Amino acid sequence: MAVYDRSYTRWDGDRNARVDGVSVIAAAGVRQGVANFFKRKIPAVIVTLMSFALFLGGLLVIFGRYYVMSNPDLASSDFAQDLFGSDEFNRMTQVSGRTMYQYLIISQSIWAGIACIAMGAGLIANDRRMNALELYLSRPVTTRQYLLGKFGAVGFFVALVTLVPATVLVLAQMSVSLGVEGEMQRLFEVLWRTVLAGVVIVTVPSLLVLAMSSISRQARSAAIMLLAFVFLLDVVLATALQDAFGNDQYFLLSILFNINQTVAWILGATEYQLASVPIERSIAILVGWCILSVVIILRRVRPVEVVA
Amino acid sequence: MTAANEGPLVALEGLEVRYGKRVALESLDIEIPGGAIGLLGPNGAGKSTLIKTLLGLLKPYKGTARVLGHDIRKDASVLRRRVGYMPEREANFPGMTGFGATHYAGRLSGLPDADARRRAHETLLFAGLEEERYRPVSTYSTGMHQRVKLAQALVHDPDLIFLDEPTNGLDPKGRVEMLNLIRTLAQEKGIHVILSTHLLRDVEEVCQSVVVVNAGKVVRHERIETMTKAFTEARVVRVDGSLSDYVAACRERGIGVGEVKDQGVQVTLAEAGSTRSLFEAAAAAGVVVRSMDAVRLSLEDALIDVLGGT
Repeated sequence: MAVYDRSYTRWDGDRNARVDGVSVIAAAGVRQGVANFFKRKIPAVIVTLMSFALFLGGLLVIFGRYYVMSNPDLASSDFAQDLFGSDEFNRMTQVSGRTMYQYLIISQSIWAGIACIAMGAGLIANDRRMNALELYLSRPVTTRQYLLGKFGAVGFFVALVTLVPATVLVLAQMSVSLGVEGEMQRLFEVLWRTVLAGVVIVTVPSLLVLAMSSISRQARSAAIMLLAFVFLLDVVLATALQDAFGNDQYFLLSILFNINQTVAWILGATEYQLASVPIERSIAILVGWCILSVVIILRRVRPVEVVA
Repeated sequence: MTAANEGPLVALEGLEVRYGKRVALESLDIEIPGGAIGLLGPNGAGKSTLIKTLLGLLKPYKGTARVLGHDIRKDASVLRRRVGYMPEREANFPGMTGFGATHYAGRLSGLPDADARRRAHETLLFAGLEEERYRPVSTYSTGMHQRVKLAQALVHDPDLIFLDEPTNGLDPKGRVEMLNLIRTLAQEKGIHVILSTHLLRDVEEVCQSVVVVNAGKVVRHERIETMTKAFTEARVVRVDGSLSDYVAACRERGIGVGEVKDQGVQVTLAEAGSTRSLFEAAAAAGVVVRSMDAVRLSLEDALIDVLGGT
C-alpha cells in the first residue's frame, strides 16, 4: 500500500474566492527586491546600509536634541547637561529650519532615486525578458492589477527611505508634545501634510521607473534610461535654459524641481522654494508625467507582443 | 464534466481574430467536446493564436467564443481560474526557484497561501521535479523548464489545460515521460486537455480527437479513428508478373489504385473487408499475388491528405 500518493490530486477549495492579485504581486516584488539586494556584493550592501544609517543618524541627532530639550525631566538630567554643555555638539545640532528642511529634501531625493533604480528598474523589464507577462495575464490578473502590484513593490521601498523616516520623526515629536496645548493639533496637521508630501515623493519616481522598466528588457538599461532622462531634463534643459535666458519658467522642465516645489507647497514651506514659478503648473506637470507613465506601462504590458 | 449546465468544452461562433489588418483566424465555427484534443496545423496556421484567444490574451475582432461555458470576453477572470496554460516559449517568473514560481502561480490564481504551498509541492512532485524544486529556475535544463511550466499550469487544479508544444526540446525519454503525465491528466484525473503540437505522434498517443487548423481556418475536426478510417481499407499488393497488367485489371473492376513502385501497388478495396476483387484482378491479368499488406496509415498521412486538399 502506498504510504503517500505521489500522483496528481484535485483541489477542493473555494474556486470563487476573490483573487487579490495586487497584494500578491506587491509582496512578491518586495521579497524579491530584498533578496536581490542582499545578493549583491557584501561591500556594496554594507556601504548602502551604512549610508542610510548615517542619514537616519543625522536626523535622529537633530530631532533628538529637540526631543530632549522639550522634555523638562530629560533636559535637567546630568546626561543632557553634559551633552549640551559641549559647544561642538551644539554647533553641529543647532541648525536652522531652512538647513534642516533642505537636508531632509535633498537626502530624500537621493534615497528615492537609489530605491527606484535598485528595486524598481527590473520589476517589469525582467518580466518582459523572461516572458513572464503571459504567465501573469493568463491567470485571473488584469493589467491594472499587475501595474498596481508592481507600483506597490517599488513604492514600498521608496516610502521606506522617504515617507517612513519623516513620519516617524513627526510621531516622535508628537510623543513629547502630548501635554502641550495646541501643539498636538499643529503636529497632526504636520503629520497629514508629511504623508501627503510623501505620496508625491513616492508616486512620481515610482511610476517613472516603472515606465522605463516597461520599455526595456534589462534592469540595467531601465536604470540608465531613468538617469539619463532625469539628467537631460534637470541639468541639460532646465538649468541650462534658465541660466541662458534667466527665466525661472524653464525650471518647470525639471522633474526634481516640480517635486520639490509641490512638496514645499504641501508642507506649507513655500518660503524655501528656489524659484518663483506658479505651483499649479508644477502640479499639472507632475500629474502629466504620472499619466504618461501609466499610459506607457499599460501599452507595454501585454501578454502577446503583436507586430501587425 | 466541463461544468454545470455547460455544453461543449469550446464553442466558437464566427470567431475572427486580426493582427492589425492581417486576419489570423477567420470565421471559426466549431463545437469541441471535452476530452483530450489535439490542435494540429502547419507553422503559422493559427494554433497559438487560437489558444491565446481562448485564454482571453487576444481580443477577437468579431464573433464569440465560449470555453467551459464562459464567454471569453465577459467572464475572462472566472475562466482563467478554471484553465491552465503552458506556453510554447520559455517563460518564467524571474529570480524564483521551481517551488517559489509554482507557489506564486498558485497565489496568482486565487489559492490561499497554505493551499498554494501544498499544491506547489504536489504538482512539482507529479511533474518529477521533487529533487530540484528549490533550485533557481534559471539553472534548469530544457526538460526541467517544461516540467516546471506544467506544474505551474496545474497548481490551481484547472478543469482544462492548454499545452502549447509541451514536448519541445525534450529528449526521447523526457518526451515519453511528459506524454505519460499528460495522458494521466486526461484519462485518469478528468482534466480536459487541448494539445497544440507539430509532433503528430504526440497527438496520436494522447488525444481522442483532433482539430486541424490551416491558414486561420478549421479544416477538420474529427475523432482520430474517424480521420484515419478512410485509409484502413487500403492494401499494398505485390505480384509476380506484369504489374501494369494488374493495375489495368484493378482499374477495370473499379478498384482504387494509388502509388505504384517496386512490383507493388497501393489499392483501396472496393468493398470493405473483402479482398476477393484483388485476386480476381490478378487472375484476369495472369499474375500471381506474392504478398498483400494492410496499410497502417498514420495521423500524419491523414493530415497531409487533409492539408493537401485545402
